[in-house]
This record gives sequence, C-alpha cells and structure tokens, in this order.
Amino acid sequence: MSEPSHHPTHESRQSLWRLIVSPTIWAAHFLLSYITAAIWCEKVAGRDGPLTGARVAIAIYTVVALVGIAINGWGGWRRHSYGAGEVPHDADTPEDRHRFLGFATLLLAALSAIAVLFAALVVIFFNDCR
Amino acid sequence: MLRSFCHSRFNATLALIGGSGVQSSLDPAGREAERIAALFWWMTGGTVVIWLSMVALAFYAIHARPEAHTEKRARLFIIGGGALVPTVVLGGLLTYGLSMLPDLIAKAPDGSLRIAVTGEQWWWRVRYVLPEGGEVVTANEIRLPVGEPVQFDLDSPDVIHSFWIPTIGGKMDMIPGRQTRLVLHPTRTGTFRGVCAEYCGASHTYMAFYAVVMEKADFKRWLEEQRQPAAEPVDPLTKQGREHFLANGCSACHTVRGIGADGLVGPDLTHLGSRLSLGAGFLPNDLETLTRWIARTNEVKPGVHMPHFRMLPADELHALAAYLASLK
Amino acid sequence: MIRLLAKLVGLDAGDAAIRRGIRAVIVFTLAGLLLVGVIAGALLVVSGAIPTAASSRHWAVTEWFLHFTMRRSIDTHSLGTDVPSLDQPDLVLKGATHYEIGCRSCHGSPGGTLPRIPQQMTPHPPYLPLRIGELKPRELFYVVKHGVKFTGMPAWPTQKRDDEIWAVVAFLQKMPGLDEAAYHQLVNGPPPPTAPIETLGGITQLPHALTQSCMRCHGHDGLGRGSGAFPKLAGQSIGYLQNALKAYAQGRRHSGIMEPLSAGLDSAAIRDLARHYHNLRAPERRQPEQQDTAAIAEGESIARRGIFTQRVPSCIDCHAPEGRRHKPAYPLLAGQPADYLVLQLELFKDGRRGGSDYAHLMDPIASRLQPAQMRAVALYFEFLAHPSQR
Repeated sequence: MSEPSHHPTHESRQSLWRLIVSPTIWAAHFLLSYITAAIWCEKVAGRDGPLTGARVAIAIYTVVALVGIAINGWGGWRRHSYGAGEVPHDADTPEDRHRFLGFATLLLAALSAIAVLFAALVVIFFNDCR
Repeated sequence: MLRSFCHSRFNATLALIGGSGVQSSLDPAGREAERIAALFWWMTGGTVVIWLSMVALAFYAIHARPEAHTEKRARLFIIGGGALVPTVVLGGLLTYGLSMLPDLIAKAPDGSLRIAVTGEQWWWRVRYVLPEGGEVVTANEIRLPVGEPVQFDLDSPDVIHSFWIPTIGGKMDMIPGRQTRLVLHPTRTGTFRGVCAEYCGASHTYMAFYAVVMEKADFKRWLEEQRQPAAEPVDPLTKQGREHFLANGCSACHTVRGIGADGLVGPDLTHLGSRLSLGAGFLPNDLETLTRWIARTNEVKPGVHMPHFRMLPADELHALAAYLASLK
Repeated sequence: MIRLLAKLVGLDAGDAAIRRGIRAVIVFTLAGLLLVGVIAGALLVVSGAIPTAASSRHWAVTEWFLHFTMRRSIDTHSLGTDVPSLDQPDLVLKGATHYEIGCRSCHGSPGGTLPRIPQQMTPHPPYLPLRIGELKPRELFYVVKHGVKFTGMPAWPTQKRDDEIWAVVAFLQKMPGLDEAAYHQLVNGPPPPTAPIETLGGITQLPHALTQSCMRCHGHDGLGRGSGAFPKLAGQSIGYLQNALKAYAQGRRHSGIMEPLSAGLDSAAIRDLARHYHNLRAPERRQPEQQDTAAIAEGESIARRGIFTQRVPSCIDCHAPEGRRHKPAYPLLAGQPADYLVLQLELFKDGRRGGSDYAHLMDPIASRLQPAQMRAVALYFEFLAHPSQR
C-alpha cells in the first residue's frame, strides 16, 4: 500500500534537515553571542568597559533563536501528533517514521532552547567586559 | 640526594611555618576562598544527595517494586528523572556559580592596596604601588593587611604562569602581553603559601611564595621597613661581603637599594634577609642554604637563569652569604 | 659452466654426481688459494720485509693512487660548505700570522722553496705558494679543519672555531699574490722600536714566547697591531690574562691558534706574560666615526642599563666598573676592537667560546642579544676610555 507522492507521510517528503534546525540555531546563537561580546569588548567598550550594547544584541539573538526553535519544535510536535500513534513510533510504516522524525525534532528543540537560555544566562550576571 | 635535600628542607620550612592549612582552599582565610569553599561544599553535598537518590532508586527498582510500571508512570520517570531534574540541577548550579563570578573579578574599590606581581621563570617580581605615589619592590613574598581588599595586577614576560594562594582566593593566569587582575580580601592573619598553578617549565614546582596576612599596623610597619634602603653592614665580614657583591657584578642583575646596585633582571635583594624563604618559596632562608644557593643555583633549582658561582673562593662565598643574610 | 668444464675434460656432463664432484674441486681450489694468500700476506707483514722508510718514497703508481683518493675525498666531503666572504684584511692578517707560526715550517712561504725537512717526508707536503690554486676555498677549509690521514697534516686543534679556519683560508687565497717582502710585512708588521722592549712589572727576563709568537699578533706594544682581528692586551687585568692563558692551555677556551701556543707555557711564563701585558700602556681613547654615533648611543644604554625586556643585565658592572673595585677575573673591555668583541659574543652565544671558570656567566647574556645589539655594545666599548685614562 503506497501513498501518493504529495501525501505528507510519503518518503520523498521526509527530511533530516528539519531535525537539525534547532541545534544549528543553538550553535549559531552561541557563536554570534561569543563573537559579538569579543568584538564589542575589544573594539568598542574596552577591556573594562560596560557590556550594554553586547547585552542588548545577545538579548535579541536569544529572542530570535527561541522563536526559531519554537517554530521548528511546533513543526516537530505536529508531525509527532500525526494521525493516531503512540510513542515510541517504532512501527515499520511511513506514518510512524514521519511521527518519529517529528518527535526527535521536538526533543532536540527542547534541548536547544535550554542550551540557548544557559548561554544567555551569562550576560544576566555580567555587566562589563571583565 | 638533591631531591631528599629539597624535600627535607621543604618539610622543615613547613614545620617552621606551623602545621597544616598553609595551602588549603578548604581552610579559607579570605572572602574569595570562603566562597569557593562554600561552592565546593554545596557541590559535594549535592553530589552526595544525587548519589543517595540513585542508590535509593536502584533499591526501589530491584527490591521494592520489581514488577513492570505502567507506561504512564515509566514516562514520568524518564522525562522527570532524565530531563527535568538534570536541567533544574544544572541550571541552579550554573546560576549559583555565575552569580559568584562578578564579585570575584570585580575591581577593588578606589584607594585599595595595589600589588603588581610579575610571574617570571621561576620567581615572582612584587611591586607595592603606593597610593601616595612611588612603589616598594620586593620578590617571592607577599604581605597583606587583614580585612582589606587588595588588587593584584598580574602579568608575565615569558610564558603563562598562574597566581594562586589557595587559602585566600582563586587563581588567575598571568599571560605575556596582557594584564590580568585578581582581588582578594584576606579575613584572618597567618602565613599561607602561594604557588604557580600553570606548568611553566623545568622549575615550575619550585615557583612558590609565602603570603603573610598581618594586622594593619604591623603591615604598615613592614611596608615602611621594606621601603628603606638596605641596612648598612656593621661587621668586617658583611662589609667584605658587600664589596664582593659589587665586584662580582651581582649588581648587574640584582638591586640592593642604597649601595648602587640597580640590576633589574633578577629579584630585588634589598631586604632578602627578612624573607621567609629562598629560591621562590621552597628553601629555608638560612646562611647555609644561602651559601649553597649562590654556589650551586643550577643544582638546587633546575634550569634557573641565575648562573652558579661555584668558582668563587669559599671565604668570598661565605662573606657574600653573610652580607645578604644581614639585609633584614 | 660446470657442464662446459666437464665437456672440456671429457667427462659425462649429464651425470649429476660428476657435476657435484667438479663443483667441489672448484670450491676447494679457490678456498685453498685464498688461505695461501692470507698466510703469505701475514708472513710478509710479520717478517718486516715491507719498507716504511720515508726515504724509500712511493712508487709512482702508489703516489698517484693515494693522491687521487685524497682529492676525491676532499672534493666530496666539502660539498655544500657555505663559504663566507673572505676578502677582509683583518681575516687575512689573522690567517697570515697563524700561517707563519703554524704552517710555514712545513709548507714554506713566498719567495722560497719547500723547507728542507718536510722535503724528506713521504708523502711530502706541497709547497703552498705555488700550489694553493689547486684547491677551492671550501676544500682548503675541509683540509685545514680535518687534516689528512696518513700524511703529516694534522686536524685543527679544536673543531669549534671555524672562524679561525676561514681566516687561514682567507690568507691562503691571498698568498699566491704576495712576494717575499710583502709576506714578511704582513706576518711581522712594522719593525719593533730599535730600543729593547721594555720589561715591566719586575720581570727580569721576557718569556721566550713573547718575542717568538705573542708579539706577532698582539703587537710589541700590546695593541693588537691596530687590527680588529686581535684583542688589545695592553693594560688588561692580570687575573683575566692568566685565566685566559690557563684556559687555552687546558683546552677549556677554544682556539686552534691560542691553544697550542699556551699549552707550551709553564706557570711562571704565564704569570710573567700576564704581568707584562698588564703593565703596558693601555690603548688611547679614539674618536668614533660620525656614522657610528647612533649605534654607540644604543650600546651605551645597553652597557649601562642592560635591556630589561630581554632580561639582559648591564655590562659595566663587571667590565668597566665606575667607582668600585674591579674584579681581576673579569676582562676590561674599554678600547677593545668591536669586531673582536662581537666575535666573542657570537662564540658565547653558540657555546663555542669556552674560557675560565667565570666564562659561563656570559652564556645566557650573549644568547639574549640580537646581532645589531652586539655590534652596538661592542662599538660603545671600542670607543670607551680605559680606566687608567679616566
């Protein structure tokens, strides 16, 4: 029994890329925050200067990153809840593979969100470049 | 033989200083060390709690309820125990640790005592920057007033060293080409030991110092004494020693204020006799060791930059050591 | 081949046993011949019949073969040698004076022939003024440094002083262009004053070595013939001079020129020589050239204060003390030629200088100096007034 190719659970419509969107956002957020703080402290504020501008930037990155992760996670949730299937989605069917990928995406999104928050936590406590 | 020599000397020095705790971060004598000790105890306590919980869970699973759980209950265990609890615990620890940091690296208030310490292979160049201007230079020993914040400005001309007095506070790297900062608040008087905490070459182990926390009045008196030029030799032997010090060119590397010795390569020796140790915190400061140090530096401290003076006649070495020991 | 042999002697080559027999005969014959040869050779040597007399000379073919072997060896072993610039008067002078002391007695000098005694050596040394062009500079360097086996040519007394060997090579390059008079002018310098050389410091008799060797380079006035090749010994401290001669004599200071000369001195001669040079009038302070003033100023700063960032201590505390006692073991550097001082610093830096028990003090200092800083500080001392003239 095969689905038509436009059907959401058809194999040609599955992608691993959506799985790694959230961790990629986390990595980008980490890198951007790090580079922003480094450039800010070296070129703008000076070694003992205030972190203000970098803090605002990192706050914006964080919001953007969390929204991105949330959208990706929401997508994962929808695929996970497709039809009527219970975790662990381990049946050898296109539907369960579809649900499984969605569920993994959702879990990675949750992990990435926590990691982004942990990284952003630093600038809550630090207000200068030291 | 050399090792046993150093070892016995070191033990003797320890005994001299008075028992344990001179280099323990679990016996804090500074505000920063107290916080680090508190963090250590919290983490140890937390670790014990987690470990006990795990043992309890294992016991529960094996003995109390060996039969299978319902799906719902199992999911609760996995999500709660596997994801939520670690997230909360790590989040809490991170928050606690981060909240300590700004204070630990904060600048000392204006007007605080400032000490510039340069870590060199393998000794410490120490300069007290006086608020009224000028500085007092010494080496391989740091004295601090109790109950006051002290700011250390740290750097290095050669390789990365790390400045650490475990009993008083955390450690801070000394990096060639940039200045790092460390603020310490000693809370009780006593003699403690500091070390280089970053491997820096052959004699890294022998790069230490004593940190003496004193009552404020005592500290003031000490600093004033250190500020003075070298003591004038009184007996013929030490007078002779001073002549040898100058004639042998010791002054090309060492400063002894007041006698025209202005070398900057090695440690300032103006008040060498008043220090607790020789060779950067690992040898006792007595006449015998001092003589041996001058004659056989390279054997006592591998790789040391000071050349040995084995070739000097014994009486010259003796007079030199006597003179340096008299510089109280 | 065995089949062929079998056919020749009329045996059945198809028979394996016969082939084995023939093979055995061949092997035993060869082994027997070898044994006889070895025994005969041993008997020849043991009997003493071979003449090793130099007077018997080599056969022409032996001589050709030995010479050819040596030339091939020298050429191959000296491949890849970096040849420094040799056309420098100081280098030539240093090489020339050493040639006169160390080489001439075997190799002769311009305007003569091969000296009488080396003529009787087998093989006899070449008369160099005519034959020097046969070897390239790199080959000459190799021969002077390492000597030649089975001839009278010794290796250089130390393997640490390539600079001295290049000085000899520099002179050898010049020698074919010199006539007898020019050669004598070069190796002897201007004639000494007609009055007998002053004896100073209570020395009743000048050491033989002084007139034979020392003066040739260091000058009768101890001023080093005004050349950057030689240190000025006049006015130098006694302790340093004595220590230096002893260190040379014991091979602790390295020099193919000074080691053999010092090794021949007894302690009384060393003491007298040191006193003699110490008591000679120290070099006059000279005025520097305009173009050197910047370097001299930098040199003064290094000499007086050291270079703190490189952890280089000051020089004057030991080498030109002001207002304090000078330690006799440390050389006074005022007035010494900058070239000589730079050479010493380079030797220290490379661990090739050696010296007395005090010499190790200089190793870390020299190794922290940049070449330009060595030159600057050396120039400062060249134009500094000697303490006796301040």
